[in-house]
Amino acid sequence: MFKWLSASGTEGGLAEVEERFASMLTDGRHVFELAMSARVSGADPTTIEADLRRTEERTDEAERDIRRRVVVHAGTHGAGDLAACLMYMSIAKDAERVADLAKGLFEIACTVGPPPAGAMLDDLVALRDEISPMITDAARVFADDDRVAAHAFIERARDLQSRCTEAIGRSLRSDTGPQPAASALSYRHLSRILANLLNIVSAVVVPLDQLDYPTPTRGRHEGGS
Amino acid sequence: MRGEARAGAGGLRTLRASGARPGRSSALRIVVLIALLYGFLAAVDILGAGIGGLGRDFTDQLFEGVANPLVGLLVGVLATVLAQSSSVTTATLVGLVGAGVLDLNSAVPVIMGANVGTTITNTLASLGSIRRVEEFRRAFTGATMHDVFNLLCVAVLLPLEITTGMLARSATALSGLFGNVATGDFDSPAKALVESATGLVGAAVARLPFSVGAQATILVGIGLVLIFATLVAITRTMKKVIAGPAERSLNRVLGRSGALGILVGLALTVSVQSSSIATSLLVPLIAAGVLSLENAYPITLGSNLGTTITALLAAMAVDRIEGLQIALVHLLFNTVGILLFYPVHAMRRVPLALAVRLASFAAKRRALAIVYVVVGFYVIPLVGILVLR
Repeated sequence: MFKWLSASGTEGGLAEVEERFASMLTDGRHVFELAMSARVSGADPTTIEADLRRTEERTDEAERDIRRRVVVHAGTHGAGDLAACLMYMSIAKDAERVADLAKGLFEIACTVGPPPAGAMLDDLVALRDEISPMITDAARVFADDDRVAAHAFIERARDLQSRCTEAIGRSLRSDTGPQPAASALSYRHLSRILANLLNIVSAVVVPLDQLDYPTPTRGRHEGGS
Repeated sequence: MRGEARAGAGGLRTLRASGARPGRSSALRIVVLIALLYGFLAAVDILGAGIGGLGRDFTDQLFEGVANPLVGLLVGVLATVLAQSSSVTTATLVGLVGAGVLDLNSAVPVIMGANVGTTITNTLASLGSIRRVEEFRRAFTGATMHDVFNLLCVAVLLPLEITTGMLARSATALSGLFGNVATGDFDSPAKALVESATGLVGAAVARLPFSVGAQATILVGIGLVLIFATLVAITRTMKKVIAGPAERSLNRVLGRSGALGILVGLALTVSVQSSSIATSLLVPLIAAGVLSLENAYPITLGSNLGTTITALLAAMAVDRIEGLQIALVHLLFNTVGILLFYPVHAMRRVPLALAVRLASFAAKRRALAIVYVVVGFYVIPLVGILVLR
């Protein structure tokens, strides 16, 4: 009956924020899979557009909801949770960007029509298969506060980003390959999705002031080589 | 090594743990709260005992000016502004009326003034946004909505009270349910409990080598300090306890207006024994645009209603039924205020529209917001008391 009297109340509000955040990434993965099905699997954009846009809008609303909840939490709990509040504001933006960039991939598919042929298609399919589970993995690593998994995630995401960067260069230099501009743009979007996932997972291993900047001072923040 | 140390200084675990505070067990909290409530009731009783010892002539002289309703109103405003708590003012007032040194009719304007004075806290909180115009406009609107509502209630109900005694009569009739209005007897069970503490303090003070008047003054001082200290301690203790429930409740009412907001404001204020804390909590949410003015309004009204619990609690510790009557006046004043300015949409818009206009003006000339606070809450009451008494 008097349980509420002993609770500090600190965890409750932020736990709800974290649930909303996890749902954003689940939705983000759904948007990504729908978009990539149009971009590389030849799915008809008109059949998936409504679902994709509805899900993407849900992530926008979730971000706004997180902001509201964070402001209420800061107002009711004072400065004690300030760092956590700022972190949630930052990563909610990253999660929203994942869905937004995935929507961008869908718009590329709508513009250019059928997927590219040959090795580029294989590469995009491989990247899709790698990146899609990473979107929800980011939520899991974050929720578990798993530093080992976070380091592994960061390494993997950076490798994939390098692959995307190389592919962007190839696409931009090529004037004979399939859909060079659309391909460069697709790789760019994939790279940006990875960057946002990196930002989210970096919250597990870097201090607040270094969020969004996990790359340049890797050794310093992660204790790596 | 350096990298490891740096990583250890940050990261999710540290960020999430940043707000974790050691929690007391619920049993300990209950004991602390009961002790604080007991201390509060004993303080009201000690205050009454001290005032009784000052002598009729002295107290009559002291409260002579309050017979003028306007002076009473301004005394209520100023006392609350100085104490930064309407709870302290109303509890003290209940002690004074309950001890028979201030009559019910003279105390009514003072309690109305306490309602006005308590709005200074959230108005001061809104000044925190003064450097950012739009944020300040919203914050000041949210804060002054409370000021305007209370001023409107006073503007309507004080003249009515002076001419008809409506609130005092209703409170007197209601108090008949709990005691004997004709004889003034009021047998509160809490009174018997706190009398032993008052007796101990009274006996200790009686041993001091001072005159009876000086000893009574010391008792008054002890009563006032204890009222203030116990209320502050209750507020601080409960503020930590209710942070979680308050967050959940506010999250629920963010997108809604209506009676639920009144209940949330009422519950928040009853929990922390301070409408200032509850309404000040809303200011940053309104400033950020997270809580709309329309949705904050019923929470503020609920807070106004919730703050009446302190006087009702204090009334449990006094000898005479008039103490309960003034506490009931406080409850009725705020209830009637809500009935006047909430159910009918057009009436609800009046305090909101006035607050919006006031805030627009203040946002254009932000120094005037500070002038408003200083003149409205300090200069006018002080000068008014000096001129009118």
